[in-house]
Amino acid sequence: MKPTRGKQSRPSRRHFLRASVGALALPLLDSLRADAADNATPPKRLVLVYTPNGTAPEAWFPTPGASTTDFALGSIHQPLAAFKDQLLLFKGVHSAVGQDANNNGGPHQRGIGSLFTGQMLGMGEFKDGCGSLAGWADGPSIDQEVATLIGQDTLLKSLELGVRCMDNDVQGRICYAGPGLPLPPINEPINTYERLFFRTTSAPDANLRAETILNAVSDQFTALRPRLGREDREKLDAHLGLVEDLERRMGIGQPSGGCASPLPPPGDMNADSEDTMPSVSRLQLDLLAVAFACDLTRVASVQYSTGFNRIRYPWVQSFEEGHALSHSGDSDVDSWSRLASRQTWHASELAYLMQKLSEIPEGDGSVLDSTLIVWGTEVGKGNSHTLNDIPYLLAGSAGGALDTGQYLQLDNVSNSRLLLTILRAYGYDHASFGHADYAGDEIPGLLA
Amino acid sequence: MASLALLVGGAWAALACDSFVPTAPADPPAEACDLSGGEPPEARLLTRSEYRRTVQALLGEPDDPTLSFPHEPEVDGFNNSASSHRANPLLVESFLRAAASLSTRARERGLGLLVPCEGDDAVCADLFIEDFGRRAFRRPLAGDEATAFKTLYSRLAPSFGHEDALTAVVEAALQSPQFLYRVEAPQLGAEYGVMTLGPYELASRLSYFLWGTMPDDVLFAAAESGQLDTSADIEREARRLLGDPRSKERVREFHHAWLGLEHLPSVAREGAPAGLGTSLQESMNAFVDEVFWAEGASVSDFFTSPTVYVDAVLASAYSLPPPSAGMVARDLSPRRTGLLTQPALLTLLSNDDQSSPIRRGVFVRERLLCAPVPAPPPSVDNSPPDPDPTLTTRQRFAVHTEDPECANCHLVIDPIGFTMEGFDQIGRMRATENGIAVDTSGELIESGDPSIDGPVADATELSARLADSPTVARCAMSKWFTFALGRPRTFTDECALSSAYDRIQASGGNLVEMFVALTTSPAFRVRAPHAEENAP
Repeated sequence: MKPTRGKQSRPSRRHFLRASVGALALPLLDSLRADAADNATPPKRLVLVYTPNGTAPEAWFPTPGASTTDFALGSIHQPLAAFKDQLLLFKGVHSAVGQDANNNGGPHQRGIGSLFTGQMLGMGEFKDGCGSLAGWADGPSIDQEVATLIGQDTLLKSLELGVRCMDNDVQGRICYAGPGLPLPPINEPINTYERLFFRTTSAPDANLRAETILNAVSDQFTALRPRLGREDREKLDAHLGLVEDLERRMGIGQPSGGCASPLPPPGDMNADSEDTMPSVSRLQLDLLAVAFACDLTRVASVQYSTGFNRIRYPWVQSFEEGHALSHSGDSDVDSWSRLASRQTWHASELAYLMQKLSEIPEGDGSVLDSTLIVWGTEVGKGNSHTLNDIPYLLAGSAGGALDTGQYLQLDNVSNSRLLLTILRAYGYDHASFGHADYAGDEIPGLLA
Repeated sequence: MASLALLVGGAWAALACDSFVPTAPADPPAEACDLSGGEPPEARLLTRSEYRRTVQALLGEPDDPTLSFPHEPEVDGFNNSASSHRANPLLVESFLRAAASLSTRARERGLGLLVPCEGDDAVCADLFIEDFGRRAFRRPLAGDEATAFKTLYSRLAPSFGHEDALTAVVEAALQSPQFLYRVEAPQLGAEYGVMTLGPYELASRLSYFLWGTMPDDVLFAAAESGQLDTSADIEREARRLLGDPRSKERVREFHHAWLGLEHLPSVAREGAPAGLGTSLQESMNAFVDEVFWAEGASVSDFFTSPTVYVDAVLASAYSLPPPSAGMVARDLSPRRTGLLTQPALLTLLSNDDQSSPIRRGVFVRERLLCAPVPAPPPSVDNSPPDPDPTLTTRQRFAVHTEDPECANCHLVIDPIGFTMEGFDQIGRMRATENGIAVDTSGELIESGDPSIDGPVADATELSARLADSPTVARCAMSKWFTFALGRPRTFTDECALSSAYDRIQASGGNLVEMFVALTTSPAFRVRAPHAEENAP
């Protein structure tokens, strides 16, 4: 496919204010516009957000009213009150595939593996904290399906961001390019910046030189191929496919103006620390907003820690190990309120991202108008490990594709139907999504 | 190709482990095994540490270019899983960025340092491609591989110049699969259901196993001159590599994976002073260095050494006299004996606010005895009990062994962990908890080694039992096997490893002999065929 974005004249109208503000916020977003070609429809965008160890259901689910549009937000979602009309909440979505007796692994593994894929876990050697064994999820996540549809003309197909995702196993991955192909998140803002803004050189012949080098690399893959066994051939063919995709994307118009060289975030942060976690979150969200504004990618994810993690959230006075906290007994009101305050913090980070996106003008509106954010966690509730009532929240309408401002009471609907409905907002035309045994049609009443 | 089963028919099954099958004319292994059902090797992508050390050796690069690389998947602490560590878009971009910057820096230092050449550009380019290519690909280039680099050079040299075109060759080499992967290609003419590794493949297996980097000139020369064909050759090289300082970092790396030490700096524990985790990690590094590299060291020394390394932070945390500077050894006998009483390990194997007999017990079973624990029933509430000021940790965990559903598994876990109850969540010694005397009595049940099963008084006695157990030495070797081959040991490896086990036992668990035994065993020297190689 021929890249088309080079024709678009976006960079000239974009520039950054190179002002110096607080050390832990990026001075990137002011006076930035995200217009594509003149009068063109803004591109749709998608963000997945993951938070760990389930939720506090009492504080998550809204109080329903007379109709789906009449509801009161739970305490966790109060930071999102200003965006209430742009939210979609559900009760009654379950991970049907996660509950299948033939699935591999423990509940946190199954829950995170199916959260955005609707798939089972393969066989494997990854152990959860209790010794259950599993491999990776058996299919692609929705962000990658969406990226295939809308992410071919950008520098990056998608951008996976992490905030303290330190477990590199099935409990530490939410995005999959395909069966058994997880995508690792970047945990350090400086590395996110490098990925977005790295250029080999600005010399005029640079592209010719880079292409010639990648052709030689491709020739070496070809030379090695006949000497390989079948498994290795498949492994290296997949690698070559990534090199070729990278080569093609390097030919896509390079950002200029402020998008070419914004100020970098601090390079010396320890991203695996409870002391820096809130700052890292803000920097990653800022960089995500810049990536959208500069149209470097249209699909992203932000993963906060990992399933079964033991981290503390001292900035909201939650000093317990996360997983242990989520196991508190139902009558332990204190513990549940601390768990809810962690989730409220996550809601405030989501509100921060929505606010940032809403401040980037595009067409007659803002980047937020074209964006959908999907927030989920791997189990319904930590102490029972239930895979019923998985908390999913949708924010934004993906350019008016979703009928937002509703709270829907559903009757035990498979999460793969919700995932399919989201995919439909981006023009996905396959009959179903996820594991065949639990796939179904779209959930009625969500698509505009 | 014909498998051995076809050649000898039904007798094969009975003979599998003690028949004599020549695999190399010069020096047949003492026994051969049917590897046709074993795990075929996979092309192994370099890990971050392997990449870092390889470009250091190949280019003289002093800095770590992998800080922004995504982390490899981790299986049981090991990040070198051949099947899980695969290319992904972020990693491929990281390779591209690193190749661009590493090749530029190599040029700035001078490409002549890599391949000295004076004379005609075209001649020097060919020499560079042959010589640098051989080191980058860890074997001589095949004709089409050399052609690919020569084509690149000749396309760029006219407009970019000789130096830049060679820099581009370096940049391309660093992104080529022959550099990024350790490929073990089928050897034509192999017989009897096993594939013999080629000399260059064996050289890379040795250097990556023992140094975590590419072969040095001596290994390359041995591979080139047929000096890697016999057990004696391999033993000579294994001993040489182990005698080189480069193996020290590699041995540390193994212990970080085996014991889970990577995660120490980020642990949060009640009562921990600032910087405790980092100091504990350094303390463990020093402990491993001392025990492992002592003359004649054996696996059992890990369980008997009374040494704990302390710096100012640790001295204060554990009420010891502070050292005048740095990290110094303290003899803490008789109460500290070996690995299981190291403050670092005890801290790691705790919850944030209390010791964890479960984590400690599971660790001993899984990491030291290779006796896995069955997973709990899915419905179980596995949160630790809240700290109760009127009880000890042990009393609070008693519920596990009272509830019959839990007792089934916890009977083989908790009583091991209880022996370490004399140490709190940051590994401080304690005689009482909440004013009640701690009870350190425990038991080894179904440990896999009947000779060590039975009641245990405390961590010191547990350590003494483990120190003497051949099961622990075998388990340690199977961890080294995973580290060497990038996959867990399976039952199909048992036969190939049997000679190594015997040798280790005969040497009393000697650590250097363990490496020699492993590298000279069939498990290391031959490999199972790929599926299509196995077809009749």
